[in-house]
Amino acid sequence: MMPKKTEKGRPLFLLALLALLGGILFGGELFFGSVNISPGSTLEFLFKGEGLSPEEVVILRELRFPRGCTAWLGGACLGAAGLLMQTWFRNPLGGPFLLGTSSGASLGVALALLGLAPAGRSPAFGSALLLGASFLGALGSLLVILLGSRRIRGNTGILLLGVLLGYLANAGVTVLLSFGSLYQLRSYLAWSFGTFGGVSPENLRLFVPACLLGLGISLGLGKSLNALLLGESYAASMGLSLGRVRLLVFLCTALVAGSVTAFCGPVAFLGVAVPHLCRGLFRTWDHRVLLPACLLGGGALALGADLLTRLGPGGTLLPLNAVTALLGVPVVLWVLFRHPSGEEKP
Amino acid sequence: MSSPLLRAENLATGYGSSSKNSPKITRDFSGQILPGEMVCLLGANGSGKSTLLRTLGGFLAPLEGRVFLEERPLETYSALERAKKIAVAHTLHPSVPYMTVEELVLAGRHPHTPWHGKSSGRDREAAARILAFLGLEHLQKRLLENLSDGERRRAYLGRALAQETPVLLLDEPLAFIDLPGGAEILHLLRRLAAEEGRGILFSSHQIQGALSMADRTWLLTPSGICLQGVGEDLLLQGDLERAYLGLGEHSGRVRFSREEGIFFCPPSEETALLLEGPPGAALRWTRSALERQGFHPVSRGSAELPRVLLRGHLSEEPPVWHCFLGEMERRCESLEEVLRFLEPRMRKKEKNHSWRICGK
Repeated sequence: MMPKKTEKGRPLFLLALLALLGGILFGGELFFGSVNISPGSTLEFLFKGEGLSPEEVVILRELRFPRGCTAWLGGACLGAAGLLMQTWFRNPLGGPFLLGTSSGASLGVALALLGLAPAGRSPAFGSALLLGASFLGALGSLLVILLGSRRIRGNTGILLLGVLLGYLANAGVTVLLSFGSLYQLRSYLAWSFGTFGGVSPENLRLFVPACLLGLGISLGLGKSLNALLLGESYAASMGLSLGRVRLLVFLCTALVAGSVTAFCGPVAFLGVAVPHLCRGLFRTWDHRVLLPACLLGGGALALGADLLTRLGPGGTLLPLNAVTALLGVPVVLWVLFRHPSGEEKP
Repeated sequence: MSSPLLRAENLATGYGSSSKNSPKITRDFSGQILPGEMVCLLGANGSGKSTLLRTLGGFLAPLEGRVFLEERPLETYSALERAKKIAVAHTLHPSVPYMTVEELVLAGRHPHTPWHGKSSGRDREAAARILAFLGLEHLQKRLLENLSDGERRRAYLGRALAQETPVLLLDEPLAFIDLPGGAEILHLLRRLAAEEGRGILFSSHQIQGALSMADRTWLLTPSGICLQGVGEDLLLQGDLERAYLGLGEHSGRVRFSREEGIFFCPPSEETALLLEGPPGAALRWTRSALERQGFHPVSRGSAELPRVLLRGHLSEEPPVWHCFLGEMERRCESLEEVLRFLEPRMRKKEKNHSWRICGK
């Protein structure tokens, strides 16, 4: 009886562990950086209102807390998006970056920034526009992949389609940029390296609800995603209305991937890597476990990656995508070696 | 007579959106499945068995005609309502990493679980009962990845049974399963139909087994017409062989044995020999071995013919063969020896293959 109980409790234990890891790394985000702030004095400040210098308060409130929240939520979103895409497309290489969703969102963002954004509007309107454009861009690229997956057999073909879509979107962005100013070019380039540090406290008010909405929907999809593991025809025969689930999966993926891309740039490889790491860690196929696992695991991994960016020589920040690529590429390679042909088993 | 579980009316099946332009695979099909009935769907490859099953299950829209599930038009059912009435087993059985046999069978409870998907005690009971029913208990904790094709097919059948639906549509449930296993599954399905009043439609290529177990047979012909009747009638009237051989894809060499219900290729150059011995297993398998190697055993004939004399047919006494070939005589203790003795001496030309097709 005893071993069975441990087996049952294992997912909960691991989830708690991932949450704890996320909490610790979040603490690292707050207290570690070019200026180290002591956790003790921060607690003192929270309870007694003293112990921190005004500069430190500004650093915490305006920079590090939003950055930590963004990284945690952004990682959770990317993990969820990766899992949804891998299950829906039955493709172990699914993820917002590899399948061009981030690129689609980028195109939306570039269009909004350079083409549509009327000068002189309020920043809040600007960021809502950004989010909307990114969402639509992500949704558009997902639809292209959906149409492609009807015609193209095999995961490698779909991957190639995603990469091509990425090039196409980047071409569009480059054309748009050539009309923009040097300043816009510079800020676009910085954005395209990916960062969790670009979300202001005001933008956080938009970013957090958008992410939470998407993540909330995704958590409700566990049962449907489980049925989809056996393929669409079995899922339909077990009572899943494919049209409704497809709509939910796509809206949800576009929302989480679009939000992250709008505010953090096209963050590479986290989306594809997190689900594989979680499946391996939890040794399960069950999305009712995997979804929370990918949220917590993705959050922790993103926080870890963001902390690693601070290890640049002489206090410079490394580009986030360089770090996530170092973490994510080995996972992708492992998947490729495991399914050498890129084809799924029947 | 009870009302049919599933009924098709003037059905035409095929892929495509418009009924006028799309080629029809099966046409003018009207048929029904009654509670407690086991119907076998036969037909050559490409005759439209899977397409008909998909259409009857509501997963493919008919080009013409309608399907009624418990006398209500199938298209008026929601996916969930339908999943509580019809369970299917496809020819595909994907392996899911980390999923065990027990979990796969439990997945069949999907239409009965609440939105969050947590399985109740009743679901687990149903799964346990089905695992026992199909003899999968010893595999229940095994990962799908580590199963043989036949075992995985069985597990997928369990998933369909766990849905506990009145109608079961099974696309080649016997493929990949060895012959005794196939016979057992047909027997279990028959029990399920008889005891629980379920209606089962299954396609198969194991003609013998299917005919012996199914109450009725639907036979898809190359012309797109589906013949219906008691399977043995279809066999005796020659419909069966016409349906399978009518496409002319088998170079005219394949013959059908109505006596045994199997297809086989007779040797093109027959080499007659006299086979004598007491009837029984030894005689039957000696004939089989000789025929396979291109000989043509006869039981009566001229004494000039080469002769194989079988002795000792009782199980406790191993059989012995005496071969006579002109002046030569040899006592053989295995069929291998018999063949080794006969082959080089009787065979002059190229080897004539003769084989029997026993199921798929």
